[in-house]
Amino acid sequence: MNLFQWLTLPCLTLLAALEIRMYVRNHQGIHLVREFVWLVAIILILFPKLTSRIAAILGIGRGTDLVFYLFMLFTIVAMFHLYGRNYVLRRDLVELARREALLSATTGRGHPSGNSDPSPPSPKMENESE
Amino acid sequence: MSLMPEDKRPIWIVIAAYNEAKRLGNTLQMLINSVAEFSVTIVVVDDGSSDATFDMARTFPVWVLRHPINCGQGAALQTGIDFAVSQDAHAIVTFDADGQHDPNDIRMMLEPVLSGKADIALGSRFLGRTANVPWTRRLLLQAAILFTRMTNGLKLTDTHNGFRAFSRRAAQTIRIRQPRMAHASEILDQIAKHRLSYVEVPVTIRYTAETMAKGQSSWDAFRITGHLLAGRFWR
Repeated sequence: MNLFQWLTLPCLTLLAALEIRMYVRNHQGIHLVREFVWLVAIILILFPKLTSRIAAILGIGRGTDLVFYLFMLFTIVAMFHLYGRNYVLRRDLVELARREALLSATTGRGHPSGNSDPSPPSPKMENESE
Repeated sequence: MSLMPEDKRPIWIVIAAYNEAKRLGNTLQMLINSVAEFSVTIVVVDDGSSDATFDMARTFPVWVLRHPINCGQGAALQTGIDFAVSQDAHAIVTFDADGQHDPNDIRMMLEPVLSGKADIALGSRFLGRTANVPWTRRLLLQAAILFTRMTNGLKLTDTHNGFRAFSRRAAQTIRIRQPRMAHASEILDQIAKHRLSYVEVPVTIRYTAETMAKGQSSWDAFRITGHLLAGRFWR
């Protein structure tokens, strides 16, 4: 084993072990996906020539090109996942902002209610029935 | 039955406003003058503006709500609609803050909803008088019409017009989840999905250099499509 392998493999093994532990605890599929990534990294670092062999089988040529393509694919998938997380988070944030706006409704000058700091009727939120 | 002064059914007008301090005053004044004799209440939703939009709205006899952050026009409209529904609105009109819409069209917009002919009235600039529509905007809107026809089957002449009138039932049925500009397409999707009856009403839209500068660019069509796809994927 070379120095790079001595430095990276213990860290990756530790991450893989932690991932299994987290999956056992909460059974979330994302841990299995991450576990797969760590195991692939361990195998490819442990057997560097393996990438060249797989690349040759796939007709890519060099092993580094295969790693680069895989990295690109992984980045796209990760970005898609993050976009989705951000999308859902943003939607939750809008619901919070809406709740705040509905609770602090106020009236302008000359409004018939003459109420500039009212407590409007309890607004119905999305997850409540009409 | 069209809107008459003696008609006491509560009508609400929802205005979503973001950084509209300059134009909002004029819009509200025109609106108040044109609906003064009717049982109409106006609610302005300040969508986290950084200018004096909130203070400007509060100088008028209207309800004012404020998002603590900028959430987008779709989100602001849904907030206003939620508020109007919670205050027992019988019908709800959505109206742009920038003065593009003509308050005199409100009666025509409400007519099919109040008479029960339709659940929703959708304003159409191509059925009405519309001044200074740039050709790029016209082309983009035609593409949107085609897209709408292909995706939900609605045969409309204008798909991205913010001037709409909802019956109470429609306002309770439709839930805008697209916070930004994609909400216009989402509303049409929900009309088709829930089989709500709709009618198009000719309305006047006034384009000015100012409103065009603040409005959507042609590239936003791609962003809107992306948001719609994202909305279908992450429900």
